[in-house]
Amino acid sequence: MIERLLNPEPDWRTFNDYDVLDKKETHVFKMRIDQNHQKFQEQYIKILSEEELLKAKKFARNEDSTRYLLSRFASRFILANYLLTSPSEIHFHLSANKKPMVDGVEFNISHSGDYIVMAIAPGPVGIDLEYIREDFNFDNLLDDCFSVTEKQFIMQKNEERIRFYLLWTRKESLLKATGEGLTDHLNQLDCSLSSTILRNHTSYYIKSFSIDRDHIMSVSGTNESTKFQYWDYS
Amino acid sequence: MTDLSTQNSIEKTLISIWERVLKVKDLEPDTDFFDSGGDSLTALTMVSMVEQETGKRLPISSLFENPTVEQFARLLKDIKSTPNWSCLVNIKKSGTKPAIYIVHGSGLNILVFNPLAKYINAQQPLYGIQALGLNGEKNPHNTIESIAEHYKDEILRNDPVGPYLLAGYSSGGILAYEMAKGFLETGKDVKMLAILDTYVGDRYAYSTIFKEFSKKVFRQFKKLLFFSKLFVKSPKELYQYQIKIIKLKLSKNAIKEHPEEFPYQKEVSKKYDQAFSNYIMKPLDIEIDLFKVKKRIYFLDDPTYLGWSKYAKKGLKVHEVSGDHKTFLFPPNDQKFARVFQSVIDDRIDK
Repeated sequence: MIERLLNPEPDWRTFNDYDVLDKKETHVFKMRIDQNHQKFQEQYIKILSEEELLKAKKFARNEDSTRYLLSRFASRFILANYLLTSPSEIHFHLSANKKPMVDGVEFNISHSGDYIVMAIAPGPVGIDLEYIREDFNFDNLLDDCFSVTEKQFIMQKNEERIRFYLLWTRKESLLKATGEGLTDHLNQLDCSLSSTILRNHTSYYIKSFSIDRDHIMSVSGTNESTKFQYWDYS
Repeated sequence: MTDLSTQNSIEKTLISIWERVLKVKDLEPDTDFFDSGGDSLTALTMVSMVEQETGKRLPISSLFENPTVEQFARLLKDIKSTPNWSCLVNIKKSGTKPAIYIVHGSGLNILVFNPLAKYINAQQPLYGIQALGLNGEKNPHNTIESIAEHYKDEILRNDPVGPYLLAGYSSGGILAYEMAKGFLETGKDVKMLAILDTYVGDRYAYSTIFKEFSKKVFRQFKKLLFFSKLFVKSPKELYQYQIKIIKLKLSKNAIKEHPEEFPYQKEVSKKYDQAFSNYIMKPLDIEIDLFKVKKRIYFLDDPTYLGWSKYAKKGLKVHEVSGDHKTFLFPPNDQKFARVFQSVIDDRIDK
């Protein structure tokens, strides 16, 4: 049952700036935070906006600041490649539900543990990554987050923790794709056990992958027939 | 309960919760949740912990608009208690059959119905009714009649049309009975009234001292017979049951030994106990399904009908279920009970 929903680690290809991103396909990127931060941190000041540099200082923890800077830096490069412009010309704005947007492209970003992941697609897209935390107590959240059938799927003898994170990232990626974001009645949305879902008169797919064995990533979007490319950004 | 009277005390409570959820130290009132490593999963965890510690739940969307400790505390201060707190709890949502409503027993909460929800038909929606006052607010009702009316009104708000399937567990059977009366009086269709091992004995019939006395003497005699029989059948269980009762009676805070412990239990129980002792049952024009446990480890005057025959004017159907009064809803009996329960429900729906 888990296998039906959770795909093994995809075949990542190294991304180079001269690679061309086909606009008919869905592109998924992953980047390791530590090593990329080491590599790029001196360039941040040249590429990022003043606003971004200022916001990075507001984070309470260093790791959040690092992750924010790298995520903005790398997504600027990827989006510039896609839009055939220069990285500093990218202008982010927030949707009503606080989803970061850039005119002319559909993309979404998530981060957890050691990675940042990003998806670019021909239509609305959502991505969610979670590091499987062994010390996270999810028991109290089950009723709030999941429908009865989803709870039944999670509460089995084996791999309860993986099942929880799997369904959580699936639901979260769908809500990011639809633009709704985190809503209050998650348990009334019985979606995470299907691979295609009709929501707001639009059909969405949800695909999940295991990353490095201890992360789970789900991608959701409107166009299942599209080809997927998996890029390792480093 | 946490002190929620001042902005300052709420902020302190919030900071302690946020520090635990976000795994950071020394948060200030102007700290922004999402700038401190908060994401959607931690946000949900935080809202749920705040609810557990304060009894108040804010919608997750309000955190996006009010992301600092100070702003979130202000919202918390302004709401009365968990919004939408209701006696009615949807234990199993999905299903196309008419919903069944089960009233709490003397434990007052409805956790005991969770195993049942797992094994009843996939198409059978199930609601539990929990006691008034469990959210820390005062229960304004002093009588069984007015409590039952309150429960009935909540069901009517949930489903104004019917037909209605009612059940009561243990002492909740009396409440379900009184609710059925209310539904019938307003012309509603009650398809089923299920009594889950509730004993109504002869507690109301004997008013004079003489009758009480003769009753007691007779009961002691019968009790002796009962115990001697049980000792042959299941001596260990009887022993354990007696030990438990004695321990409970000996302990100063008997309530604390109760497995379903929760805040306010004492006050809530007291109010219900008073209402029960003042209640006078009158026969009702209804057929009753009595679910009765096979194993009886304490003494009853009427072990066959548990005292119900004279109250069900249209008849009483007895269904035996495995286990004793305390265990018939739990593994390994839960699955069997659910099967019997569902088949009776289905019969009633089809009628």
